[in-house]
Amino acid sequence: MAAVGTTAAGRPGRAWRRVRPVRRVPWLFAVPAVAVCFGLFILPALFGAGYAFTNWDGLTSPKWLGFANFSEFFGNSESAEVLLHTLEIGVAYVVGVNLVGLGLAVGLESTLKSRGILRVVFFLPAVISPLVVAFIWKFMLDANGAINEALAAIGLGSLEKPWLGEPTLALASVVAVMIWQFAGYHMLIYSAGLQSVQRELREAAAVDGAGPWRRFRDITLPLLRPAMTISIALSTITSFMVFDQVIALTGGGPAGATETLGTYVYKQAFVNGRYGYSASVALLLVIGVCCVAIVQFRLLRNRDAEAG
Amino acid sequence: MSRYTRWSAFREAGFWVAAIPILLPLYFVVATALKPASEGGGSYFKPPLHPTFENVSQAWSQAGSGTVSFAGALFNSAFTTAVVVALLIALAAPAGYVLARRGSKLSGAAFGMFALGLILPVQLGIIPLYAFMVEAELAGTREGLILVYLGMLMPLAIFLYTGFFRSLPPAYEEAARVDGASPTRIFVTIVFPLVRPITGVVAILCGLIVWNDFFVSLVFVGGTDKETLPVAVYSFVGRFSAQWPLIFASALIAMLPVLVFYGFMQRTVMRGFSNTLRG
Repeated sequence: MAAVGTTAAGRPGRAWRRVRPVRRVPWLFAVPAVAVCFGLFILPALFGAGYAFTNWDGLTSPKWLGFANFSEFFGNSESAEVLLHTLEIGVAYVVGVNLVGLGLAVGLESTLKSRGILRVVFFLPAVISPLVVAFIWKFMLDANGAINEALAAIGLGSLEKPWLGEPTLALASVVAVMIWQFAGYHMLIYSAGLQSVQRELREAAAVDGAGPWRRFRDITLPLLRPAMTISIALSTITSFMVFDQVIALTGGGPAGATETLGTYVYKQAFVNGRYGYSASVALLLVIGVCCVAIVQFRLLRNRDAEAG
Repeated sequence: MSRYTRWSAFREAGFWVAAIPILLPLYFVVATALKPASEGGGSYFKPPLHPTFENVSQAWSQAGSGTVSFAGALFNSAFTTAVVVALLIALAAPAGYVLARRGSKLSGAAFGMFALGLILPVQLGIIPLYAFMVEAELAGTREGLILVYLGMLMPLAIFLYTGFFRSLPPAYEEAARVDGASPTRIFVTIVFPLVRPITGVVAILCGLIVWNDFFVSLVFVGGTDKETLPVAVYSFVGRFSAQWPLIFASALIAMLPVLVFYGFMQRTVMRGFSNTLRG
């Protein structure tokens, strides 16, 4: 920029006009993307937030209801169940997927010869469509499916269960399928975090006589905190919004036992035509997700402050 | 710590045992899909003795929901994914460039909007967007579906590009600028080729999201002949419930392109996924 300034000062007029228009990246470059994102994503979401306070049914013109939709959601037992299932899935999934992911990352981190190919295998389910994965597992978990067949074959016939036919088991099955699919993704997050935990540091601790468990607890784990923060936040958001797996595995059943916020929002809108009410539940979902994201950003900022 | 001991061999074996539950379901898909009807009824674990493509070809020519064949759904998925990825790159790359290079308040605000878009779930806006698409006569069309995906994935694409452009030193551009090249020319001939790695990441991530997406496709083109593969599989399962050879043949058709792609590009795909976590 300084060089341009001198030229301009030396030869005012023509040189200035020649250089000035190209001095900066033009705003025009961003206009199409901003327009698409705003018009097709942000604006509909804002409208959705507005409809949350109405009784819109998609046909007649919406009537303002104030907070009636929200008090209906918190006031009836059906939606309380839905909220409870979502939280149960959330807690079980977040704990499960992070433990498995961390275990895979730590276990595959050191000297194993085939760790490259093992990582590829463990990550593989994450690239398949969640819907297709859920149908594969529906077959495995079927009362006459592969899992019960295997149990009978090894003499554990007494453990045969209607995995998707009983409320608690069905909920646990949904969580298990989600963990199966995404454990490899969380393994990647932790592996990336482990790379930044210097190997020298741990080796020095080993020389100083720290055992494997102490090395893990006192060195690896604290330094993995940023990765853990991201991993927990991402898994929480995934579990709040779960839809494909539930629709394909159980359709929300048996008897509504696996209905979650994601399927509830969909059914209220597209089955019952209650767009306004559905939007209010979606808005609550967004608020929940935003809270998680804000906590995550705050924790990350603290980490940066410590590092700086 | 870095020696390969007997304990390492033991752990290695343990991890391969742990990999069985990952690979077994995929084995069932392939084995069941390729099993001829004459071998049905036996154990699921038994491999097909005389593998056949009869299930696959039956699923291939069957209509998913009565409106689209699997061949058609495969085309819909491929076309939608390719167009969305191409448009995303064409729009997000220059936008990310501006956001990274102009440090003003306005670009901060724009970046804030995209960050908000990253965490905003599609569910909230999907009904108004659907109503709009109906109004514009775009509901149930490929164009409409492509537009929805574009809006939905733009924040992620811009986020990735902006992060990458920020780490790119502006020396090359400045040299070209002094030589009098126009901003468009600088971008097309110098800057865009320099960010090829992140273009690859955007293509892989967004491509996989579109290819695998079920919800948006179900809402906007469900029940029409524009259905993508996951929706076609869904309606197929609805029609042929518990006919696993046919269902798995359809699952195989839906998975195979992604699995082949992953097989060739595993490192790149995995690097792409870890890339989203920085920035």
